[in-house]
Amino acid sequence: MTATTVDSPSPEARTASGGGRDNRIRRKLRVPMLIGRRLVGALISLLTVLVFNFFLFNVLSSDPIKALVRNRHLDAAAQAHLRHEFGYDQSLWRQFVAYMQQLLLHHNLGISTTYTQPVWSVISTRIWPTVLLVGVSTLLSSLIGTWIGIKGAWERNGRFDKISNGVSVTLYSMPEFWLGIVLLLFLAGNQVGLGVFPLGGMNDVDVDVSSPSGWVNVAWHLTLPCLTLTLAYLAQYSLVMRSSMLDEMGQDYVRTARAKGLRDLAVRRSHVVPNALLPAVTQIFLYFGFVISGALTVEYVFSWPGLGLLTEDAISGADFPLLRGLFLLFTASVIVCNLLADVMLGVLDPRVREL
Amino acid sequence: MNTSLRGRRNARRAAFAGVAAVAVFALAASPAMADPSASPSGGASGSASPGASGPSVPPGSKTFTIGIPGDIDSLNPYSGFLSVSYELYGDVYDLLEGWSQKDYSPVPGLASSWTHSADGLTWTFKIRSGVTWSDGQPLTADDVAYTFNRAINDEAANAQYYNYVKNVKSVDAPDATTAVFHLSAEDPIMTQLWVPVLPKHIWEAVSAKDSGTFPNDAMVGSGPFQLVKRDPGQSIVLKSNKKYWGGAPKIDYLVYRVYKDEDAMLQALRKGEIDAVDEISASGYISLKGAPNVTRIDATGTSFDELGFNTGAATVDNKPVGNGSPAARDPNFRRAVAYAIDLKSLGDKVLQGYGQTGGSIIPPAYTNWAYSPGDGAYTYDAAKAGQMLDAAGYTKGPDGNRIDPQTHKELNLRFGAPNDDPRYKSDVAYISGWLQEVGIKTTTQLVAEDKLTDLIGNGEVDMFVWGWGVEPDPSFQLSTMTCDQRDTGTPSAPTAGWSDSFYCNAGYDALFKQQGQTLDPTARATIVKQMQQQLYTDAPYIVLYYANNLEAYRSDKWTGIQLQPEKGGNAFFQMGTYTYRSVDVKTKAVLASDSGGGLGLGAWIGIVAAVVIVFGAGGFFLVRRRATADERE
Amino acid sequence: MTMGQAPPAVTTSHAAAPGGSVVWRRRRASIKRTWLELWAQPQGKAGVIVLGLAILVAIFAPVILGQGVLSIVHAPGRQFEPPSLTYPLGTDEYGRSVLDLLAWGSRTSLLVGFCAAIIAMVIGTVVGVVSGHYGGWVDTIAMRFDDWMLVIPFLPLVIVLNVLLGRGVDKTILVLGITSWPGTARILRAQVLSVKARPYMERARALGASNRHQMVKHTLPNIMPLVLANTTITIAGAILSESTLSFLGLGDPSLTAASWGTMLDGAFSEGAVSRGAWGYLLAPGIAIVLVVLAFTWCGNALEKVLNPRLQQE
Repeated sequence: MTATTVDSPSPEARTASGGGRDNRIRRKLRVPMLIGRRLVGALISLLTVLVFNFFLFNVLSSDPIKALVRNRHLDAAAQAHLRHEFGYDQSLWRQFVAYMQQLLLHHNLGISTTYTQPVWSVISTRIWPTVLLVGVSTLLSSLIGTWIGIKGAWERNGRFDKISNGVSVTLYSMPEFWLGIVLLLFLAGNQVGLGVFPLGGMNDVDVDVSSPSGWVNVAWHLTLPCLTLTLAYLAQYSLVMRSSMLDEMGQDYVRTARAKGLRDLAVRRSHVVPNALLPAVTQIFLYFGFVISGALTVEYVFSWPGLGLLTEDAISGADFPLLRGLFLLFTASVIVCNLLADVMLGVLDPRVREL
Repeated sequence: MNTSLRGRRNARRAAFAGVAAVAVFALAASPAMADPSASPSGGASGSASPGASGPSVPPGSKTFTIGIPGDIDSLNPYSGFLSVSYELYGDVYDLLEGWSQKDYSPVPGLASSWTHSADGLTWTFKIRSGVTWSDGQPLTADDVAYTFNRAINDEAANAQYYNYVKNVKSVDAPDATTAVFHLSAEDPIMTQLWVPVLPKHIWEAVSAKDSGTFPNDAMVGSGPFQLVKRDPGQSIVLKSNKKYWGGAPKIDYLVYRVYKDEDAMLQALRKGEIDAVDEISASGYISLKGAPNVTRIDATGTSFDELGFNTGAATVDNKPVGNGSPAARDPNFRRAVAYAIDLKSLGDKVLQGYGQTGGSIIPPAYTNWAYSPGDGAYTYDAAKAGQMLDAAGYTKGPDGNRIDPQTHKELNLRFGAPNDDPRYKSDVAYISGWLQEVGIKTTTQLVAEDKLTDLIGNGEVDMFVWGWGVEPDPSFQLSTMTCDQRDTGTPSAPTAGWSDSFYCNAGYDALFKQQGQTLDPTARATIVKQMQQQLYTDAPYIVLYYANNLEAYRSDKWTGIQLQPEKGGNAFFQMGTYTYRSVDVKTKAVLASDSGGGLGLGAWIGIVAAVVIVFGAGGFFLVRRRATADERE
Repeated sequence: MTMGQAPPAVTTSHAAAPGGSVVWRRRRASIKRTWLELWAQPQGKAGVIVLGLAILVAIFAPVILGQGVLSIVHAPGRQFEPPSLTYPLGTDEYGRSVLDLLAWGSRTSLLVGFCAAIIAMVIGTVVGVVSGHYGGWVDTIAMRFDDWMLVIPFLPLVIVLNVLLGRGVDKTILVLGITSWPGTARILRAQVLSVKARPYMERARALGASNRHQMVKHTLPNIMPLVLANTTITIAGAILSESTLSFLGLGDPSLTAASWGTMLDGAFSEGAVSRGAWGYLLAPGIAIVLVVLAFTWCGNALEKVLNPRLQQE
């Protein structure tokens, strides 16, 4: 995890390192070394996950070949051939090697039993919708959440703060998919709802999505799922920003700035917020794991054709190869996001580099 | 609701892919196939490279779009087993004969006429001349001979179409417009050959071991429609064959649009995004009531849902497979179960009245063939069921659950069903409830369809709920209960056949052979009814109900819908393509706009950028406003 | 959630007390004090009331309603009836009363929540205490593993494990239990480290107390309050996770099962949205929100009580 517990001197108090060529070189190398260390850490995590992924599915599923060839019944000879192809007739170690080879050299994640196509080609068609949904909602919830956090912290325990805290905690206690269902019921359904928004999907039939009117159509379908995810994760960002602001507000330099006669607004905008933003922004990347999980169920509720809906397909079809590939993808992206967060924190916050 | 796994008009199928299947995995596992652009999907937009793809339907065309609850499983007529796939084959390929729109009686198809010898062993079909394949090659009797000979000799093809060539020895084509069939025995199926006629010049290049796995992306056929594009999981676009021998369809394009969620599909119909829906649930049908511009169709069903039993899973060599419960093998037990289930209530609750109570495996819609048990029908009588169970030795244990007299252990039957259609789930819920009331304990297993096929084929379930669609000629459906249709292979590595109940009765088999060689309809009907009676008594299936076929379409925009049969029939997914060829727009008003392909990379970048800009601007505005408000403090 | 120092517990001369009863008396008094302070907080009060209600419903549902209301075959109503006097929340897809299902559903949801949290807490406490106490390579390995587990996204991991192990309430509990401990372990370890540095711990070591004695008799009681506060949060998370798993179709396979997540799954996949069955769709969700909120309030209130510094905010 990142070094979030930073007990550091304030910027003003930080002493310049002593002179000398060695010190300068060491200072110059600090950031690359930091990045290098974190990179190695991330790679190790990834490798461990790959191993875990391999053993999990091999150990817990009774006959991998049967799962692969389900319903395409093969005689004994054909099954033997397939076993050899995927290395299942050899030792566990050789299987692992074959698995890694196929994965890393040929990006072959196996064949999906539901779609009878290579797992990678099935997954790659569904990545962009999820990126769109997750990207837009992360952007919105981080922006809005940060603003709420700032305002709430600055007027601590005021009415805005109390209300926003209450709303945040309530949203936090809600399953995201249920929030989506509620929105569907009242905004998209036409029995008890307004029937305004679409019930699901990414675009209407016969709409050319590469045209501007197609973009509008997609955006229209994006509204409800995006709203769901944004609301669901608003609380995370606002709470983090709020506590970060409170931490900064208690620092000496703020008192100094105020004593200097700077107006409240200037103090807040130019001093507190930039410093408070730092850990908050890195938290955006760290919460990626949660957002992925949320997107899983929200996509299912709105039939949004992304990775989440694909996961639900894999679950109900007991499609192990697909499930395994998806799991790998989710985990790898969280590792990458954590790495980015670490690196960003290291690059942007000089205090961390000292560690 | 997903009514998938209904092939050949809802035939269920365990593929006989055999050695051919090895090829698909060998092929796909190799690095070449890992390259997404080589994927067999046939649709550029469905592949990994998100290149910009243009519209597949030109603006201003007449396009009829029908929503389907699940995607087809294969473009290859030798390997598909879902009913939507067979719907597609019927659009793109021709059959020798057709079924009359009025009453399913045989009408000319690709064969303009036919005769047979007095002994019924030689059939001569006159093939139309002037017909061309979609790639421009002329269609001749050679293609017909090739198609049927392959269906006889090729393992994968024979697995699919066995029922139609079971008595055919060979087919030859003495000239370009004549095909001669040589039979080993008379067979009434000769006027209802559901075998798509395939182009020899394409398929002779496909070796036997690739039969089942050949992607068939081009789908070269002679039918009223031609494949333009397939987007796996999303849509199938067909264009009309304006040179079709049966007359050009009035529309220009026919599009099948996949919806995983029935609610979304019905909403699309209400909004006019699609033009028709087929086989919707009772719940969906009810919710469409009063929807403006939507006409609903409540058609007599030709399918049934059944409670099937593992009456003794075994290979065709009579070697037992799996570990089925002895109770399910006992006809007394099964008959007792028949009395324990309230079929009328089930139909009411699950179908909300849109269906008929169950009976035999030939639906009452086929009045010529259907058997009705009459006074001997099973009724709902839990007390009688209890007595029958006691009499058969299944006494109640201390906690009220019945004990199997052969194993002396408490009964706990494994009860499987497909997990994609809520209707099966409801069936299982009610049935297991009723069984619990008479002391029979069950464990439910709602699984994916292919997994269920596996479990059944391996003899690892004791009972299951599933459904069949039945074609007008009863032969195929009756064949699923013959000894020959049980597993092939070895008990440890069985390959499933069409039989999922593993019913095997020599007398029944003899009757099956006999009806397969009886040409006189009345005499044949007698035999067919006799067979059904035997099945009803032995109860390898307890037929639960015949669901009506519920459809709906936009009547404000479309006219020319044709029902088959004429009275009380359905409009879409027919034995033929009557509606698709005759449907036309009512006015010259709004027609199809661009039909989207996949999303281009540029499109995606554009979308994300646009959204970022919009919200960035909004955010900026917000910040500025805040600043002003703060200044005022 | 950061914790500062817990209030001082054992001080001196515990060796003089017969059988340690002084210790227990003091602990009981401390518990009583904690409870009163908790009750004094508005959050704490609300949380305890709601939880008490939920637990009562869960315990007495079979007695008051009887198992008959779960029967599909004898369901009294029609499908998706709107709320009425007979069915205050309407009916489900089989015609059963949603209110009855809601009451029964509380049993599964709360049971899974409690059991999964207990498993997670036990594992987390053991790992946290052992690694905090021993330090060195034990600590390094444990925390590396903990890090690694935290990196894997929670829901995909839980889904994969559940699919591989099969459906069932016991399997759900197991899966949630073995995936929810890493965060707890970390927090507890930090607290253990601070406790370890206290003077009386040093004295205990000097007096020759074994590792086990130190951990069980000193460290554990001191971090118990934190464990408790953390447990309530973990239960809340487990209830949310169970509802998500059930909604995705990985819940109890028995058809008469009613957990709040299973109810939502049934409602959604049977088209309750299109049929406007709002009672069926809203009630389980609201129940989940209320119970999770209650646990969160209790957890927050407990934290405030046990962490005096926070009370100054």
